Amino acid sequence: MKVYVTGIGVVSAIGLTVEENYHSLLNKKSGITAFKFPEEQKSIQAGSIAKSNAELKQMLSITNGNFSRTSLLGIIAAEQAMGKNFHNKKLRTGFISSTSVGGMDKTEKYYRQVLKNLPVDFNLTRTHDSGNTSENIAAYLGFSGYINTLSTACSSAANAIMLAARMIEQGKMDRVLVGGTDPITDFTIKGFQSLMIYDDEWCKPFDHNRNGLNLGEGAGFLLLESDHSINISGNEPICSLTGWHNAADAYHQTASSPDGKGATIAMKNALKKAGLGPKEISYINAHGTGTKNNDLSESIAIKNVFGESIPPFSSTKAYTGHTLAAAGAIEAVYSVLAIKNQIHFAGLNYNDPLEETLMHPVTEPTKAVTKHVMSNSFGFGGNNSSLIFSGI
Amino acid sequence: MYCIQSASTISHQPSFASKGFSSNLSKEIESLIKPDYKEYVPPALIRRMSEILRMSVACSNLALKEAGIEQPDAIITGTGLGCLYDTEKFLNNVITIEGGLLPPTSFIQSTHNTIAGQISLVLGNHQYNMTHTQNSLSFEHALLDTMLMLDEKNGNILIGSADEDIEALHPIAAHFKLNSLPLTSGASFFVLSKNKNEKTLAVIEACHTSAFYSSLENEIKDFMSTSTDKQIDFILNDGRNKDITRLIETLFPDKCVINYSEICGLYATNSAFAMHLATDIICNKTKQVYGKTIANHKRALIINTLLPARAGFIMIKSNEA
Repeated sequence: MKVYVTGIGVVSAIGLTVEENYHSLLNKKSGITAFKFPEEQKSIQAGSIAKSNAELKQMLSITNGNFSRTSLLGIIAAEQAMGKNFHNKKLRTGFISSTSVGGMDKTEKYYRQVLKNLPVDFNLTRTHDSGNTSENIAAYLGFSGYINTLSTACSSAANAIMLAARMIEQGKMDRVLVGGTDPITDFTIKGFQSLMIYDDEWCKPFDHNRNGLNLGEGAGFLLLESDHSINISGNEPICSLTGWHNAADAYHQTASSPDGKGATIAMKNALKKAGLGPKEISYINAHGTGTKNNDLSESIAIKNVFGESIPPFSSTKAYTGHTLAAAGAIEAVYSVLAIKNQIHFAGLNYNDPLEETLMHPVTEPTKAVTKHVMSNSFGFGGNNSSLIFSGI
Repeated sequence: MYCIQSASTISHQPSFASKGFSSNLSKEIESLIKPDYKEYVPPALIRRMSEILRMSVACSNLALKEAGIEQPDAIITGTGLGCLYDTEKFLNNVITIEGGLLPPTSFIQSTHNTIAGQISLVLGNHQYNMTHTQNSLSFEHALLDTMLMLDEKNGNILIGSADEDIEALHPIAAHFKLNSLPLTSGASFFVLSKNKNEKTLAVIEACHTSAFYSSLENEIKDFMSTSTDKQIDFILNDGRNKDITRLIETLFPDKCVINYSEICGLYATNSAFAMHLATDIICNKTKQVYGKTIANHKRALIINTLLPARAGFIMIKSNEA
């Protein structure tokens, strides 16, 4: 059974809509700027969305209830992807989201109150768990029934998309609204700083002098449908999802293996699932965080899979920042846009190749025949996922 | 067919490495009953591991051993609140330590998928590695993913869930009056396979989750209607909501209903404890369980409504049925 993409939605540092995101990608306009929480002294470079929670709520006409920023961002993207589709009793519709920190933005506020012996607002804790993040998005859009959340760090949304595709393929669901969302939090900023992989300047994916990542925030969602669902909804497919695979690297809790084992298995098996040879991939939207370790390991894995004929590739993280759990969904949307518009997006801040692999990413937006796009997402715990989107 | 090849639980009951524990349940919820972790977890790793990781790695080790499996074909986990100990520890550092770098270990171990990731690291396993986190239904969603994968291919899948209690939860639970029963910790891991053999303990017939339903009664009836043979012998019900317990007793008038949260305490994935308990009752034909009498041991229904408007159902039957 085929799995079609019929709706996409995205909110990130480079735009609040799909059109705004596409426009920024075409014009090589990064959303990474100086950012700082009120409690902090020093600003950092991050892909923040210039809307307060109050402004986001206003956009969504939400007047009451407990919503984490994670849910608010998720609702914006999920609503776009759902578009004008209505709930239909004839279609079994599932909802799968993903997040790495859930409502940590609110939990941080609560815990500051606790540790400073201030009066505490317990309502801040109501949104802590990741499941709540998804339930709030699902409830806003009127979903009930199968509502699920995956959390596998930076590969979360790619895994959510994979699960949705498997459920459609096995006939368990007719359509699934699927994606991921994460806000910028003090917790994650300090976390990546503690690992000494947070670049104080703009991140430089696949550059010899890369020095770490910049965090970002945002959400991406896709509406996936079966043949049966399309017949009833009448939706026009934008492209289909043909390949997917998840594999454990089993090397280290945070670092990627030097031989890129998990990533290699993920890419190879995604190709196998799609029934494609390596030469048929038109463009790779790489994970490309800009850390020394990821970019080298991913480059080696790409070489393992594609040999000497490496497809055009780039990372879009220098636009959005690393949006953690959302990255897989935001980049899935960009991969769909690459097929829809027959274009390869440009990496930013690149000068020199890694001396170990000598691979050059795309550096100018390039119009080209784009039939099959691979999207990579790799996370902590050695969690590696590859998706393949194909033109109709 | 989804065959339970092994089951392993660390809880506040004497459940670990203890076949027939269903006849030996303590009336009081004692503290977490831990095995000697050195026997099940690489000793070099134990020191840095939080309780949720120790429990999970130990349970997965025993579940694989009992199923006679060295490498599972997938590792699928569920956790409601994730690695709370490390999350709280790192959050505390974020807020209290000004300037300078923080120690990264608790950040590294704070992500929900540390559990499944650690298991893959210990085993050197490169297969599908997944983490579901849907609060009270996290275990059921992990189980549904496992069943989906067994529909796709043959194999032995390590599936489990874990949650840990930490001190910081207590004032929150007290404020929201969620502490009618003790907050506890627990981990349960199982090996599931498509093929029945001499190791098969019981068989999962169906699993279903539903959020934001309008009528629990209709949800239960719909779930029951998917089963070909409607004969249920006993029910494990989370039992936190008295009205729901009464509804279940009305819907299944002659059936033994056991409230499992009273036995293992409250944690987001305690329905996994219930699945192991049901498996143990069925396998050992336990007649007296927690003061209740079970006459027949063919089929059990697990009903999880730990959170309002969210339901999980699991139906399991004897491997002889």
